[in-house]
Amino acid sequence: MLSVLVAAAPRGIPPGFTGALLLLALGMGVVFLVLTGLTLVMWVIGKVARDRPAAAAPAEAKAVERTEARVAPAEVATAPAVRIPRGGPLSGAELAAVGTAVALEGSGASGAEVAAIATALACRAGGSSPGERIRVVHEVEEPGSGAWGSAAFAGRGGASMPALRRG
Amino acid sequence: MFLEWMRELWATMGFQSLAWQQPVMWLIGGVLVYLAIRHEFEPLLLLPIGFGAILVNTAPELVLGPQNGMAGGLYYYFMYGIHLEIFPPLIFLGVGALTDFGPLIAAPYTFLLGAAAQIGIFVTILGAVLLGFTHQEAASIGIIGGADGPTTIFTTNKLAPHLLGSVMVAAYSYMSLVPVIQPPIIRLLTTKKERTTRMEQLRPVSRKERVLFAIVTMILCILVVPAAASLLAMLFLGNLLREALVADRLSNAAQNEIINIVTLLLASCVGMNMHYTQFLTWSCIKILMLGAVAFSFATAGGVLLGKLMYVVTKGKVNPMIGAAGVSAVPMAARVVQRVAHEEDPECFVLMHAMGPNVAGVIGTAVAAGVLIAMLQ
Repeated sequence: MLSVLVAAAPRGIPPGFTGALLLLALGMGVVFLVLTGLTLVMWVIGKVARDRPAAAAPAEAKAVERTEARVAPAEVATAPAVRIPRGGPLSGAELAAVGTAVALEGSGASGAEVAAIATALACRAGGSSPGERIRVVHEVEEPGSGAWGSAAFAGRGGASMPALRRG
Repeated sequence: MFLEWMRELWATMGFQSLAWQQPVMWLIGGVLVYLAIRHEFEPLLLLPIGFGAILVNTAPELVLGPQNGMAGGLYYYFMYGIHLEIFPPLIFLGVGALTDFGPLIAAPYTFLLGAAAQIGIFVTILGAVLLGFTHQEAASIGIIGGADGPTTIFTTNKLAPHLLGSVMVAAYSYMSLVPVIQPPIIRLLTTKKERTTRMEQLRPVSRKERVLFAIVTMILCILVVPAAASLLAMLFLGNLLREALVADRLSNAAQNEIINIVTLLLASCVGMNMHYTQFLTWSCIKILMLGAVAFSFATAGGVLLGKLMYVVTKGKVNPMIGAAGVSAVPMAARVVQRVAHEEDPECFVLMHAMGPNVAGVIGTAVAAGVLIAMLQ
């Protein structure tokens, strides 16, 4: 119906400034209608199609809520060298920070920017074991995650892009 | 004899027909190359654009069509990628394959920030009409405010092809200057308290949601604005290839080889549209000025709706993420993160800003479809 409305409009666009005002009203109206419609549709799809927490990201949920998470020695041994003093759990904000750092690094941010975030993160985190941190980084880095996408977009990263490999 | 030979040799050289505007354009091209190399402002775009600008103002015959029994040069045929609307949809295929719509799906309200940022397009149309441009020309200039190169080319090619060179240059130049243009506007319109608003982490998004998003959004958008169908179809095809996780080879090709090759050709063509006869004109200068207006209003529109959301949600939405509603992906989102980081080193809004950022891509394509439908 909207497409019919839009297609019918050209015959009615008056010349000059009045026409431009009409373009503004009609154009913004259609843009808002479409994107509001998409907002509602995505909200519904989100309600229906989202994975339950148990199936979606158990590891991530565990990382946010964990109190005494432990990592297998083999995992620690193979983990890249990111070292943060042992201490409390990673909060949601810190997880987001890891994602941010990964995305920034992948999308071409300078080493100083990434290092600044990593430093802020380390200070705020109060520490966690190396294995735990690396595990979180790998979750964020998985294809399909937001950070991975941003990194890939810049054309400098990819599925196996190393992320936050500084300690 | 020797002098005669030298005179003939001189006559074959390009120096004789050198106009004063050509060195000026070399300088402009050189500045673009400098910005790309020295400051890394969108080097993938500015480097070939700057080079193309220098080239076309050195050997304009490179872009000439068939004449005097000659078939036309390589670059002449490259230009067909723009004129036949081949490059923009192919770029959108790559953009779709590279873009993670997860942040948008996790926070669908950010669609509205992407819509608000489109105000820059329509306000600029008003300004352009006041400066004497026709509606079609004004729409082609206004679409610069969408900060989306392929959509700008697509729209201008349909509505005002004679402005293609100037509009393309303005669009790509301002896109690369997003880190310079946006921060002052963001700071002007927001308080420090607003800028340091920390947002909750986004929820994970399932594969099913991502696949449904690509298909449902494509159907809805194309039904509403069929004029932009080729752009939207390729955008969501690329995204479906990415999210389906079963066509990695195609997805990888779209993300790498296809978009890289098309970007190289497209950006070179943009540069080669910068011949001084088209570029050093009052019309072009007006377009460049209006392009700045478009970007500024687009940024302001997003931030102002962000401020409204900040009030409505009682401080849960950082209004700065609205600035990412211009669709320069992911540059605008990175700018927002950078400003947030400067204000508060522990404020991380990059992923939240990616929502409006990718919504802006869809919003600009919809706006372009509306303009083409109404004005073509």
